[in-house]
This record gives sequence, structure tokens and C-alpha cells, in this order.
Amino acid sequence: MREGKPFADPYLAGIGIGLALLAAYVVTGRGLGASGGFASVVAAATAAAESTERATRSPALSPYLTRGVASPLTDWLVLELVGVAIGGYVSARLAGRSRVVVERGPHLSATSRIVAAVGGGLFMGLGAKFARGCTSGQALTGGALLAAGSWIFIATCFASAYLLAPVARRLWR
Amino acid sequence: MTRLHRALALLAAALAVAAWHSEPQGRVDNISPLDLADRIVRQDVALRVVDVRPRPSFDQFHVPGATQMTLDDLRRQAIPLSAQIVLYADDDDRAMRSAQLLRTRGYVNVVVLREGISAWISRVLEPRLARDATALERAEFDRAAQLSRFFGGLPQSDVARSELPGGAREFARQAIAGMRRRGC
Amino acid sequence: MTAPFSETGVLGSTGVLASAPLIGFAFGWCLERGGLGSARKLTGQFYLTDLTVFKVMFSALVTAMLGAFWLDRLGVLDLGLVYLPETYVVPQAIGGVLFGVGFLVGGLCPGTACVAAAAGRLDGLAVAGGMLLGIAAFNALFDWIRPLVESTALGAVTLTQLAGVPHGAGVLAITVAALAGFALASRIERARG
Repeated sequence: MREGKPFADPYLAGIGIGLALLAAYVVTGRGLGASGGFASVVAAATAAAESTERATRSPALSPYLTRGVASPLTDWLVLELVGVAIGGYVSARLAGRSRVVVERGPHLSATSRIVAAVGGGLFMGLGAKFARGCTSGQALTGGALLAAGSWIFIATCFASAYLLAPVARRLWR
Repeated sequence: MTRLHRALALLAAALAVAAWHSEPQGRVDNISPLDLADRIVRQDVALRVVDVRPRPSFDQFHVPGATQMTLDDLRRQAIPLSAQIVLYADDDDRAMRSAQLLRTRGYVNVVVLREGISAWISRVLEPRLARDATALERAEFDRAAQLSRFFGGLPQSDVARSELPGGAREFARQAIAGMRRRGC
Repeated sequence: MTAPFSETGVLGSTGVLASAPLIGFAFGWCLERGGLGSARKLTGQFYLTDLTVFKVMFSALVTAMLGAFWLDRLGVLDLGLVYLPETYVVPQAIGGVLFGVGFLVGGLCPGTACVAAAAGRLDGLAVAGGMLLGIAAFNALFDWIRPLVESTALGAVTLTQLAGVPHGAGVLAITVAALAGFALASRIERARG
């Protein structure tokens, strides 16, 4: 039994996302890059916690801090993520799918799910930094432009998830 | 699969086939970096070297005597029909498409410098000779070295064979990085 | 060429910045509509019961790919001025493996985690938090892993450049593969009931 309205056609949803990505190319000459937004949040937080000057000298953080605690690119990505959240919220609200819950597999407790979620996020954070992007930044943005590294990412990402799926069964089934 | 899905799939397929078909069919001839260097040295009057990369790349470094043209310029600018045009870019796709563009405008004397600016740097500016080179390789290197010095390049003999530009792309990238550090 | 607007000056920097939440909104909206704000639905992909992730991702990819190709061809968008992500063979393979593991265990990716969190899913919030930790960990380790992270750089190259074929050939190959994939996906979902 599902609450709320049924989901939209995945192909139409995909085409919508593709058009959004195309709009990004046309307006900014760059793509969607969700993980970049996250990375810039970490950079800003680090700059606030240590000192902006010290953080800017760190080679890992400096690309995100060309203007003190931000840079023009990261402004865009962070604002984009804000838009993503609002879009997701409005859509969920209108479809009756908005509710506070810990979504999890049928045999998992809420606590285990949260722990797994944090762990999963951690791996993705590391992976996205190695790969210079995530599913939106590399797979979609770079993939649509036929970037070789993006397709390497797509292949290895899906392969590793599929290979590990049997082991992680308990999480979702 | 609904009718809408089928229609969308058909549209995608049609656009993709058209995309493939729109690429330059038929050969656009190439010119080797050394031949180009030769013609520049000889001050070949009809020669027009055209750089079709973005302006910032051109400003940073370009083949001596080249002019920069955007795709719009290629569509509109008047070039003497007798000119012998050599196009280059960072990647051959772009150069090939520019060449095709000129061909549809009626210019037949258009060739492409394969691997573009990378080839110029690795073959003309920094030609390399392996330690265990054959006589043929030595002869080609002598020609390259002579041309290289004209452009202020740096020929290197006595190099390990593994460091020759067989992977020209990889090597050329390092060469460009090296030039940036030296401040060309 | 009139685009990218940020390069041709059609829109000033304020206009470009203003586009961010708008484009993000469309992105988030479509993700949620497609059901990708739900970790259970997303992970159905890896158990072959619900292939929505594949369908959404690749229809998005093909749409943007064909759109970009033809806007460039028609002289509207200069693809030469669009940022092409650089290729680092080994780091991106490692990144893909790590990311795939995290995606499976977490059930959401960065974009969908935002959507999930916005829709009230606390696990979405947890994934987002985990991501921030993962990035911070990477930054802390950066000095040690830097040589690995910056290894095997090929620069901004495309599959078609590496293969020595025209861009349009790659566009056709990917479109055909995606369409075949969609047909296969339907078949698999029907077989699984």
C-alpha cells in the first residue's frame, strides 16, 4: 500500500532532468554537480572552524575558497542544491508524499538504517572526491558530454553496487 | 511501452542517426606538423594557419603566424579562395568540423593538423630522438631539430625509447604543463 | 553563438546565479516525481525489481546529450566553451567503486538525498551528513593520498576522441545502447513480476 499519488513516468522525469541539465550547459557552461555543493559546504565550515587564511592554503580546499569562504562556482552549486531541496519538497507536498519517517528495508530497525545511511554517505563523499563528481556531476553532466572519466565512473559505480548487492540484501529486502 | 514511449524513442533514434550522419564524411586531408613547420619557415605566401580553439587558449599559446577564428568567423569571414588553409584545434573533432564547414562554403584547399596544438608542441618544439634510433629516425629527427630551433624549440636526442611520444597526447600535455611553468 | 550565456554575456553574473535555484528546482522536482527521493525504490535497481534509476538517469543523459549536440550543430551553444570534466583513470575508477558501495548501502546519492530530506526522510538527512563527513575525511587525508588522487590524468578527453571516431558516432552508439537498455529493463521488470 502506498501513500500519496503514484509516481510519474520515469522516462518523462528523466527527460525533465535532461532538459534541466541542458539549461545548465546553456546558461553557465557547466553542469549540475550535487557533490560540489556539499564539498563547498565542508570547505566553508572548515574555513570558519580553523581560519579562512589557513583553509585557503590547503590544496584540497582552495578551489572552493577563491573569495574568502566561497567562490563563484560554488555559490551556483549551493544555490542549485537549495533549489533541489525546494523542488523536492514542493513536489512531495503536492503529491501527498511528504512525511517525516526513516525509510528503510522491511527487516531493518530505524537506528540501523540511520547508521547505514551515514556510512553510505561517507563512502559516497570519499568516492565523489576521488572521482571529481557524483551521479549528477560526473555520470550525468560528464556522461552527456561523452567525457571518458565520467563513463569510467558510471561503469565502476554500477558494477560495484551490483556486485555488492547480494551481500547487502539484509538492508533492503 | 506506450505509444508516447515509442514516439520518444523514435525521436531520439532519429536525432542520433542524424548526429552521426552530420559528421564529416569523406576524408579531410591531414598535414604533418613538420610539413607545416617547413611551410611556415619557407614563408609560403598562400598559407593560412587557422586556430579554431577558444580565444584564451589561443592567447596563451599558438602556432606562430596563426590567426584565431571562431565557428561564426568560419561561417562568415571572407578568405581568399586561393589560400591553402591549415586548421588545428585541441581535438580533431573540432578541427574536422571546422574543415567541413569551410568545405561547404566552397574552400577545397583545407587540411587539418592532426592532434593539433599537441602535435605541434611534441613534434616541432620538443622533438625527441631515442638512444637506439634507426638511421631513418635519425634523419627525421635532424629535419625536426633544424625546424625546431627556428621556432625556439628544444630538440632532445639521447632519450629512452619509452619516453617517445607514442602516447603523444599524454606527453604533449606534460609538455604544455612544462611550458606553463617556464612561462612561455 | 549565443550560449553559454555566462561566456557570451547574454546574462550578467546575477542572472547566471539566479538560474541556479530555478534549474535546481526543476531537477529536484523531476527527481521526486520519478520516485528517486525514496531509498527503497532507488535500491530496487540493484535487485532488478525496479529499474527506475536506470531509466531516469539514461533518459536524462540521452536528452542532454542530443540537446547539447544539436544546439552546438545549429550554432546556438558553443560546446567548446562548456566545461568538460577531466579524466583521471585510476582515481575515477576508485571513486566509482567507493561511490557504488556507498550508494548501495546508503540508498541515496547526493542529489536524491537532498530531495529525500526535503520530503521528510530522516535517512536522507543522515546520508547528507555522512557525505559531509566523507568529504571532510578526504580533505584531512589529502596530503597523504594526493599522488594517487592526481595520477593517470588524461585531461579533458571524450570517449570518441580516445577511440578516434567523430563525436556523432559516440552519440549514436550511446543512444542505441540506452534504447536497448530501456527495452531490456521493461523485460526484466515484467519477468520479476
